[in-house]
Amino acid sequence: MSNAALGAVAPPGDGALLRQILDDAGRLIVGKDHALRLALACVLARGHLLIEDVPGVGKTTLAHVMARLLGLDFQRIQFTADLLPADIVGVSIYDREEGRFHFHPGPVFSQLVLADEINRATPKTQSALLEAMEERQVTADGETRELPDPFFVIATQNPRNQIGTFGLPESQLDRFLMRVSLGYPDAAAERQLLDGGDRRVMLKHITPRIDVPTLLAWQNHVDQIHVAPALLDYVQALLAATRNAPHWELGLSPRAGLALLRAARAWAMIDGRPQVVPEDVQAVLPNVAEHRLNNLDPTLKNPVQELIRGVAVP
Amino acid sequence: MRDAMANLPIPSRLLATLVILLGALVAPHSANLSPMVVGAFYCAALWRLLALSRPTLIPGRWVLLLLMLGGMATVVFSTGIRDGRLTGTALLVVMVGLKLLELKARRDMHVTIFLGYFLVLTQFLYNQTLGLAIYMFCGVIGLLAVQIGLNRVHIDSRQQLVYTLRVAGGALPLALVIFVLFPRLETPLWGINTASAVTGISGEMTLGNIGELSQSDATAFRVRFDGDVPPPAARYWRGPVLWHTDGRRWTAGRRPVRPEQVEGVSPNAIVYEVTLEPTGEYWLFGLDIVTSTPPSTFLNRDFSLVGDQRVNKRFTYRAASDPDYRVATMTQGERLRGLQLPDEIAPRVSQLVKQWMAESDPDQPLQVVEKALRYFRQQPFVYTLSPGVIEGDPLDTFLFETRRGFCEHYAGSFTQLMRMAGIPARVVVGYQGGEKNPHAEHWVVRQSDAHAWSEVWVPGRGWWRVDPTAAIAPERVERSIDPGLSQDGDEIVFSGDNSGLLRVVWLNARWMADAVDLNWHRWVVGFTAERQQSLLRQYGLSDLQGIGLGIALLIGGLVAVGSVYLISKLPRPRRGDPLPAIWQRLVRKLRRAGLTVDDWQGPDTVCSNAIVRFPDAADQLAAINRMYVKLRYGRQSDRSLVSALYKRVAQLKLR
Repeated sequence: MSNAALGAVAPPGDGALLRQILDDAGRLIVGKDHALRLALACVLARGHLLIEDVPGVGKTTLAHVMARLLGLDFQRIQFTADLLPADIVGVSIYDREEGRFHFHPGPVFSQLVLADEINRATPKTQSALLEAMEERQVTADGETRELPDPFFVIATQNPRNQIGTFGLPESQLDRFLMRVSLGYPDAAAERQLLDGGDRRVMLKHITPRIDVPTLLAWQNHVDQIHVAPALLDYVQALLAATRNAPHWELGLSPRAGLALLRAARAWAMIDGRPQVVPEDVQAVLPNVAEHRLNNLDPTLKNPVQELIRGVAVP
Repeated sequence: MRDAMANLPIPSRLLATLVILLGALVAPHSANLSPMVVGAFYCAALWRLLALSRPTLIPGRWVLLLLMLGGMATVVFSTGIRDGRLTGTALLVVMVGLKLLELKARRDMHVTIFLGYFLVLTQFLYNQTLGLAIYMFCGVIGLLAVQIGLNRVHIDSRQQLVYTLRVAGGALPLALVIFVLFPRLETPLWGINTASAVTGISGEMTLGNIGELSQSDATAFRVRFDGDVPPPAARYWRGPVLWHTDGRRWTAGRRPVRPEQVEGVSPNAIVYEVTLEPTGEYWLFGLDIVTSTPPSTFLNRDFSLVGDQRVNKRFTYRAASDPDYRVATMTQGERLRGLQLPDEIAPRVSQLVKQWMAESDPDQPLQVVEKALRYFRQQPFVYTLSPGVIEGDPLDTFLFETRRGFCEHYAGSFTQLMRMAGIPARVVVGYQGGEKNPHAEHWVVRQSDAHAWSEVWVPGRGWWRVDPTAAIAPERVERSIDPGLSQDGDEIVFSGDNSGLLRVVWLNARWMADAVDLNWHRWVVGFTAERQQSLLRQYGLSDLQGIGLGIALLIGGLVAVGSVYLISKLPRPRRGDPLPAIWQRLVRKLRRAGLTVDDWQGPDTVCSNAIVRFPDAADQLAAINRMYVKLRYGRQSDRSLVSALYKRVAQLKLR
């Protein structure tokens, strides 16, 4: 925990490197800086990301970009109604020459998995992935296999009101550290988008900025970001406020509280700060909390912002 | 724990504090004790201070024994052993000094501290003023601080002060309960008396002695009226009644007999409470005429009010007066005494009286009174404080030659003239008037309000007050004399024209001090058994005495201790964390300067908003933000950074 140790895992150039990653990503996904930052924070906090949006706003591109920039190996699983758990985890096939079963790992055995349109698959298939996300290991044919480290899932989901989808239950949504919406770009960004080249071509030209050991070191560094008692007071006050508010079915769980802290730490690190400040918590709170809370009051436009405004910073 | 502490050395800082503190506590005794005793104490204290740096100076056992014998001898030779209070105090003071010299262990420190508390107590045997009480309260706080310092190994002086004030504050409710409810002793312990009685009205009147009094603005007594205040012309405060004259001097004569029983008191009697300054005399003052006497006092037949002991300390009593009360009968003895005359009477005076008698109806004595008053009015009499020396027959010289005089001249000569005309008459001395304290509810009667007047016997109507001074200087009865302005000049200056800012400030300050003084006496020093009962009665606890009072004391004490305990258990803001207060100060500053700051906004948000609004202070605000975030949310807990942050916030200027 000494400062010297911190210096070793987080060399001074990190801030610049993190900014470069965000800049590179921003060139492809125009005008979505906040969402990109959240996605990066999610990776650094060892969390999984859920992108919920209408088709065609760049969800898949975002996952591609993150994988390329962070130097992660990448697999995409297109979720469909007929997808089976084995299609994700892998299957054991009998090898006649060797005379035994041989395990063929599925696409989940990669550092970054893009689970595209996760709500199109049946709940059984969804849960196979979600179990892997939580345990960071899979069990097939009675044998437990570790998933790679880092292991990071970006799931995309179309809004639930579309036909032929199976919405994720709350307990499953809880597995995602954050939910991000990209939304339509604004006019200037859209113009830039239309004016620019083909995204797929551009993706090919992206070079990784860091390697896997650096990412792991960064993830370790996130744990070292200082959280003061006053900040814990603040987080507790926020959690208590969600539990006391009438317009939410259930308040945030302790697990959500831990997730909030981890996300805030990562956010502080991207800002180059050695400690978490209330603003970090406020910045990540909507994306950490919204998908875990079931808003019962449809008149509230932005309940999480209301929540933030209702809790004094200690 | 205690045993472990007992062997620790005494910090010399604490010891030096204690020695200096005791020196300060003994200091007021220099007014009460002989200089030798006080000097002996200071020598010992100084010795101890010097020995702090050179421990070899501490005297050995034999030297101490000699010193002790020397100290005892000092006490006996300088104070004697006749006054237990003086001797006891002197012995305590000397022994505290010697205790300092033999102080070695922590136990000795504790003993000395307790002697210090006792020393504080002895001060109040001599003096009970508010000033001394405040001084001694500070002394007690100091002793407590030393005691706390002695019981805590690691403590800085700020913490020490905080603990001390907390302990003292916690003890306050209990002290208050004990003060109010503890059974009062009817007579004060050891017959406490105050330093000296103010020179006031004496039991006789010689030419010039009231005039002298009129130059003093010392307070004679203070009065609080229960209801309406009588008009100035009715505020005659009756003191001793003088019957006997030798032509120059008036005295009460034989001790008046038979205390008066007043019957049929008028329902519109004036009720009031007098706080009399010590006079050293028996008599008390009441509004003319007292009809209801306070406890342990009685009325003489001539309606002078006397107590059963000398007024050697401030004395508060309640009385009622009826200005219209008259006694219709007169004994033969009174008639004789009321007609007594000096042995020699000048022929010119006899001639004058004979002329008045010839001109009036013998059945109408008031006609003679009227003639005498007209004489004073028509002849060139002057009302003055410096009448000059009267030689020869005083009455003759005053009436026909000097014609300059003060109230005693007029009252004395008028009374004698009436007696010569066969009308029983007597002189009453007391005070006339009084001034209201503008900052309080009471009136102050000063020595300068001292006055003398006459009473004549009118058959069928009783004793009748005649104030001949009013014939010469009617304003005397309406207004007070201003002693400050009247001293040297011939003419008497009456108060009422208060101009000049300095004088107004000075007068106001004096009135305020007067109000504080009276309340201190009313509620603290003069809180006697009687007042205690009347206070309890106000809260429906009448007849609470003896065991009942003890039970009330116990319950009150438990409530006081319990509530202090409960308050101490209340959650407090995290101690030693000044940061929220500093942040709030910054927020207040920003809000005053017009920036909207919400409670939910974190420091970064607030400061960046502030920088946009006040670009001139951008550097300051950025620095404040950096420091605050570091201290509040970072690992940093450097105290010096906290004070630096405080300074920056304090110096922040927003435009």
